[in-house]
Amino acid sequence: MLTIAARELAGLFRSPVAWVVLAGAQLVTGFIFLLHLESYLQVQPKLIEAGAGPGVTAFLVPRLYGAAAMIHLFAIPLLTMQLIAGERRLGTLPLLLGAPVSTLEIIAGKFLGLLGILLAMVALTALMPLSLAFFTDLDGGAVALAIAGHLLFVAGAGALGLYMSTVTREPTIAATATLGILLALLLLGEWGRTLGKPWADLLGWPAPATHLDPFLGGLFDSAAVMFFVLFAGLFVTFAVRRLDNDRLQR
Amino acid sequence: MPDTTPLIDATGLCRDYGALRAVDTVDLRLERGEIVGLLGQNGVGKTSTMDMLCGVLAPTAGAIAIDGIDLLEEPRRAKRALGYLPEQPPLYPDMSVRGYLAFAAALHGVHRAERREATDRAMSLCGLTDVARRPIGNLSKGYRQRVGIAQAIVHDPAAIVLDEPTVGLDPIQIRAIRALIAELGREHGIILSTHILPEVQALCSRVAIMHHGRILHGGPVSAFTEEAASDRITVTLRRAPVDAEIRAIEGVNDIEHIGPGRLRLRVDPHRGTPERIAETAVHAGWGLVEMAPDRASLEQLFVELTSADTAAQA
Repeated sequence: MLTIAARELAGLFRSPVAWVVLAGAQLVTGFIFLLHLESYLQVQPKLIEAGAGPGVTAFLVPRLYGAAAMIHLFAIPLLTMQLIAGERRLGTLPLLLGAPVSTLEIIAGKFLGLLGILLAMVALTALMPLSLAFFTDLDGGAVALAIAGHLLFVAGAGALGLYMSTVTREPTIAATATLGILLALLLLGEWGRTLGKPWADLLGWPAPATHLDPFLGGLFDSAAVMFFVLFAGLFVTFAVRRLDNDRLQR
Repeated sequence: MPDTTPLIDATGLCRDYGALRAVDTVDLRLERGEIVGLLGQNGVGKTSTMDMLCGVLAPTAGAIAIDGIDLLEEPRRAKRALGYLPEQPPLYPDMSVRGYLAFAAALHGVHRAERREATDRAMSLCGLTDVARRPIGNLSKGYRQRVGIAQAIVHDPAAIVLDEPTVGLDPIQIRAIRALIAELGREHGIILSTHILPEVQALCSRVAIMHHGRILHGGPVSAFTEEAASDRITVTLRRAPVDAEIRAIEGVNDIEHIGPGRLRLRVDPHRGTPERIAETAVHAGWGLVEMAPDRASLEQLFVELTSADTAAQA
């Protein structure tokens, strides 16, 4: 399992796709970070005058991570699309299926390898708020929560991408489907919000972004943690089932 | 006492794709030190059969034991004794040859300490030592095929399954791969699928002819190359007589005209008939140009079996 994870991670870093995606996401996120930092610096004097209002952490973190989650929504499908669909295209799947490893180990290995690169993404994003620690006091707890929430969020979205990659042999279809579903869930949540009370909770629930919000607000919401664990677990299980189906039916 | 458990013992294998039965009650055995050729046209179920033997495809019905271990009950243990080269070699173009083989070794449970030795051995056997550090994507097709074979043997499996290992290679590469397979066959049991008849004659000790998902014939290859060959003789005569004169020779059972002056005779091989034909031809002045036993009998059997089966189904 670790063997597969290590190969996957090395393979991802050998491919230009991962570098381009990471660099692109970092560039855009960094730009947004600077924009928000700039606007904070503009409102800061007024906040000090008023004697209250959000500190830099409370102001920046939700805005930055809200934007990062949105950008990574587009980046993650590009990282996950090759996972199984790529193996199908290369014809390397028989090597894995013929080896003395179970389907669960293949999928878990793939997911672990993916987590490696997602971790890099989370770390790169975290560098931005952490860089402020040189100049000001940060609310360490709030930043840590935001990082944890971000990690859970990308892991959940990654699991969905992994499942989509097992469904098809065309990486582009896998990527498009992943993005489509993530966006549909997000929009469903937004729509629910405009409809008001019962609908906001109901339609917002399946969207990963909804469950990211409490982390960004500095809350440790164990229900949200459970949601991400379930979300990722569900799609990893689906992926295992789907790959098993390959063996059974094809 | 030598171990007599068959390396691969498949019984009653069936595979359905929807309503289509691609593989129909196939029995296949591989003993130690044997190269078995699975011969058949394209699309008769060879690849499905091999996928099933290697646990890539689950059989609809039937049982498979690898070295006495049930593949369906204990896939993990059984697969360790197996090396598989699918029709399309499962190569990652971005990996180096050495890196890829080390990965394949790790995947098949070779311990870290022995991995380097295992990859070195596989590379030297397959003649890959010179390209160890090159990315697989940059290698020629012949080399890639060798990497594919190296991948199948890196964990030193008892049984090796090769699906069309020489397809798409040039004649020199084919010779090299065949030599490699023959060499591997001394220590491992090998099942080899192909649609090339001479390949079976050159390499295999046993042949199984497959058609429409069933095995129509299984037997030693030697039967074709030695005895069975001599009941057909091709004769070229400059002044061929009427058929009745040839038929008059004792032991000649049938005559087939295959060209001007060229005849294929079906003879009784055990009564000195070939000598008698030669003597008669010389005495009667038929102008004997050429006389040779028909060596293409495996091909004949193959064509006869497969066309008879198609006719029976029609």
